[in-house]
Amino acid sequence: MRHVSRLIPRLGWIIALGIGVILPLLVSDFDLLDLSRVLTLAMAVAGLNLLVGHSGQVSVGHGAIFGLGGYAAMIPVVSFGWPWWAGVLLAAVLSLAFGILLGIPALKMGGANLGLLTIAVAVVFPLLLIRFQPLTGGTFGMFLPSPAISLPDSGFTSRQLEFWVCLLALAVVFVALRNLVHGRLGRALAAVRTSSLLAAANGIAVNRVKLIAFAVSSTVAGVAGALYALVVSIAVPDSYVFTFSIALLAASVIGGSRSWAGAIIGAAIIVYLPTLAEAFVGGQAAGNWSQFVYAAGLALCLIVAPSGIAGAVTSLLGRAFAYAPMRRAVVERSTDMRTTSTAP
Amino acid sequence: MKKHAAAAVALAATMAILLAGCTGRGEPAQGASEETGDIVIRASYPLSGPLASAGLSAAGVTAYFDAVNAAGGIDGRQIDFEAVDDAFDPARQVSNNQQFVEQDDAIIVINFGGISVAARPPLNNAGVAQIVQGGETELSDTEAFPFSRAYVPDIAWEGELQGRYITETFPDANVGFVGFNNALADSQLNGLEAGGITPSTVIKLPPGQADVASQVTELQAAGVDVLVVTQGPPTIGALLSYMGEIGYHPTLFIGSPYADFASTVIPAGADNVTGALSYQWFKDPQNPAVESDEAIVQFTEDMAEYSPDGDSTQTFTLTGYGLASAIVSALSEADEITSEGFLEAWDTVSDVENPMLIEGASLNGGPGGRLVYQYPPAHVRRNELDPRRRDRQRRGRRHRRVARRRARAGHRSSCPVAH
Amino acid sequence: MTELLQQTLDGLSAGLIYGILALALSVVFQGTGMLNFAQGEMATLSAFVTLVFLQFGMPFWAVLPIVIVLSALGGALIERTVVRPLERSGELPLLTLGVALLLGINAMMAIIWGTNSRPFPSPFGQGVVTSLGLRMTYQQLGSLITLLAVLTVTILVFNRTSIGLRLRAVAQNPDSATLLGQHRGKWLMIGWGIAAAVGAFAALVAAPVLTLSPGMMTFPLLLALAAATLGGLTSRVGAVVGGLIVGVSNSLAGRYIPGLDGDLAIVVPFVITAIVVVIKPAGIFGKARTVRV
Repeated sequence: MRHVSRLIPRLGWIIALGIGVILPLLVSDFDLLDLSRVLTLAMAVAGLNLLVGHSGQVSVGHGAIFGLGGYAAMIPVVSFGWPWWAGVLLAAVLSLAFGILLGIPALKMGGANLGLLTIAVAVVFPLLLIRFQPLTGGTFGMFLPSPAISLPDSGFTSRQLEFWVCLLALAVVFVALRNLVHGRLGRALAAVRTSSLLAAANGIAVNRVKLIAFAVSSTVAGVAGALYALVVSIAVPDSYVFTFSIALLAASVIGGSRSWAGAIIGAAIIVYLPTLAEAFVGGQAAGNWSQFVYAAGLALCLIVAPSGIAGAVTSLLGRAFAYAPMRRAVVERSTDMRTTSTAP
Repeated sequence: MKKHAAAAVALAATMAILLAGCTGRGEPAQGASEETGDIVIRASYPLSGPLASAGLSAAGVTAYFDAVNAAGGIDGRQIDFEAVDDAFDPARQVSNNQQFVEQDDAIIVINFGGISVAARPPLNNAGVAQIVQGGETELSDTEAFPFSRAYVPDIAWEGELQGRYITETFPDANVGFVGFNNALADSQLNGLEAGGITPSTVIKLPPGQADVASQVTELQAAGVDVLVVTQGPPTIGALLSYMGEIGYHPTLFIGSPYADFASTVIPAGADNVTGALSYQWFKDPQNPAVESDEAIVQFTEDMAEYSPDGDSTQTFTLTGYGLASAIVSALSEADEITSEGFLEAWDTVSDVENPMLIEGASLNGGPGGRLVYQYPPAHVRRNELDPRRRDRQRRGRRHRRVARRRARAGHRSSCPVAH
Repeated sequence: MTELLQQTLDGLSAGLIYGILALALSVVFQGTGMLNFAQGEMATLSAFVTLVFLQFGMPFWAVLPIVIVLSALGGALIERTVVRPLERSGELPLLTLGVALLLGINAMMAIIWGTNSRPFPSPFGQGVVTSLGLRMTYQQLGSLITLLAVLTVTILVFNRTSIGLRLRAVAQNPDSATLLGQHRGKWLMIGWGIAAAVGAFAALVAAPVLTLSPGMMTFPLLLALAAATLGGLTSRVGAVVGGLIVGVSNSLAGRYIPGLDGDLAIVVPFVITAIVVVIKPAGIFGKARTVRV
């Protein structure tokens, strides 16, 4: 019985992965672009979840780290002809370094203060991008002349390959983060989140644990940003404005900041909700109406499911599931009885 | 464990919902722009967000195309037009463009603003014409991006004209510049330099920053007596009204993109812009002086009939209307209704009238794929007419016309913004 | 020298706006532990409502009390309807709700009044006071007086009235306060009302200077967040002093630190704030919260 219940979630993820793998063979390139955006954003949100949900630190500046990763990948690929994966590696290294750099003052701050520090990073980042024009391309940013991820003779389009790359990266990130959270670091994080004093009293190096969470979260966001930029083929300051950082945080909270599935749900909401709102409102003079509907949608999600959509669905389904094992047990007992009765 | 199972179910449900909205591979594109079908044109505008005011253009485009359709279309073919919101998010613009190319089979894609510069490669690789509503110099690079064109004039040209005018009229001027912290300002500063002017004080502000007392103090302390301002609302109104209030009155040049009632005259107060100079090339629908202008009357009627939700008092709306008119002009001249045919016609338009242009101006294909707005003011006509143009006039063609070369667009006219 | 002094004065004038907005932020924060991102848009809404009344031909000083009361009612209404369900869900859902409110109110204003910026008449009249080569406009002087008045009233309400006492009690220890018969929700609603009323003053001080548009407070809000953090989120005086420091440092940095200019000058107030909270996490005037294990 026990391995069956352990198998169900695994099975769910395996099925999801399976669907993901065959998806590029089924849907159009246009849809694959948006779905790849969802995957990469989900990766960044998962990184944010480690920080917000598991470590209890707030970051309103992950949009800037996401952008840093994007530029770190695009600049060498566009300006120096590096292969795309080398750009992603560089993005990982730089965002790790930046995470540590930002994490050290963050240790001294908590709650609102950390929020402010990260807001400042999010606000200043696009201004710096515009300033460092020779390197970053200034206002216009960097753009790929043609898709970076391609295999000309394979018969697959770039959009298909990009989706598979993003899917693989997301799977790796999920597994790594899950293991991290279930391992020693995760227990330490849980202790720190509940009470940092208590954790310190129990011999946990609070600062080190928090810094590791910040650094890992930042690296994941940077890699996600690198893949995102490579997929959309651009890195432009206007992509990484303050509202984008806020949207990432909103995705984490709305999806459920302790749930990996929630990261995908949250990312899907910030990519598709604006478009759905536009379709719902209709008419092109109604742009502000669609922003209004988007805002109302966000508020509704929060009010209906304050602990995140994944959490709400979980408890809802959990209640439904609660009866199932009981019934099964009854059935089993009756079968047992039948066996015993026929045996003699 | 149950929890995780449920989360996985939730994820599966999300995926199912998402996938239900997807289009399958290999399904044919919906728009069909063969010889006789509709002409598919799409636009990605910032209909929401901080630049929603620019998105008003979409309503103007719609009104013009619908009016053309109602009058029988182009050579009997209807225009199938739709505008989609990108909220000025570059990724959404890329996504919209891909949808236009792949699913709608558009032959012309309209984009707005500086983010369109990075969006050029996919459209050029697909061979679809991209018309950008933007004044940045980078958009003139038609060698590298043969399918991309810009609609509004290069701001560097304006900078050069301003520079030349200042050099001649105020030789001892101490020039200051206030602009955005972006490439538009860089283009204009390059232009000013080409016209012989290097401002002593350059102030660049991010969009939306409107507390400018400190900047005004800086300009005043530097002794600036000729000020070139190309900043949009809300900054420009706040800047000019504050300058008026404290009695600081340098000679003002207002950049043409913002030299209208809605952006500048109303928020700054008419008193504070009286006597300001500006190169004008488009009509301002709020300007009482053009109220009875034939094209503006037509514009207002078309808006009321085909885009009743649009705001016909805004310059951006009229710009969209004018852009649509320019596209129709080129399409009517095109040998074949394809992206290539359209662009070829766009580059060679000559003396085309356009409802947004001021009296007597016309559209002409110019360098860098830009449409040049040309009209010879009295001063130029008297002194600097070149023989070619005089010949043409003799040949009896319409008199207000200049050669296509960009330098000739260097008219000296300046008119006060406020009337 | 004159320019340096004038730049300082200009910075102080800008700081007045950040200060009042920071004051509103601190009132909500003290009540709910929520950084209300929508505070700026709520304030802008108050300014638009003021303009509507002015267009009916009512004199400004008659409109002012009406708008303050309406703003307070509006703030209370927002608390009652959308904030209440999330009251106990922690700071993150509340922060996110603030974002949704920001986007929603912004869109609503754009739908009703359009996105153009429009002039907003100064209640203090047009004109300049000059002395020793320095100048202040009537609007700036009036704003200074407004700020001091609002600050005084807010401090009196919080420290000298039973309303303030209860507000602080509910904020500091919600559970005990509830046990003592203080209905938490009611007092949070009142806190939101007060914050919205204070915010309305911020908008009335800002609108004549910045010209009125739905996005008017987007930029000031960021600096107000820095100001409130710098001065101490739990201190009313701190919020205002923080606002002034932010304003002056922003103005001087843009003018005198080479390479920063008008766009990157905001780095300086943020850096000052970060240094201060690293040294003193509760901000200059804030009281450190004691943690019980």
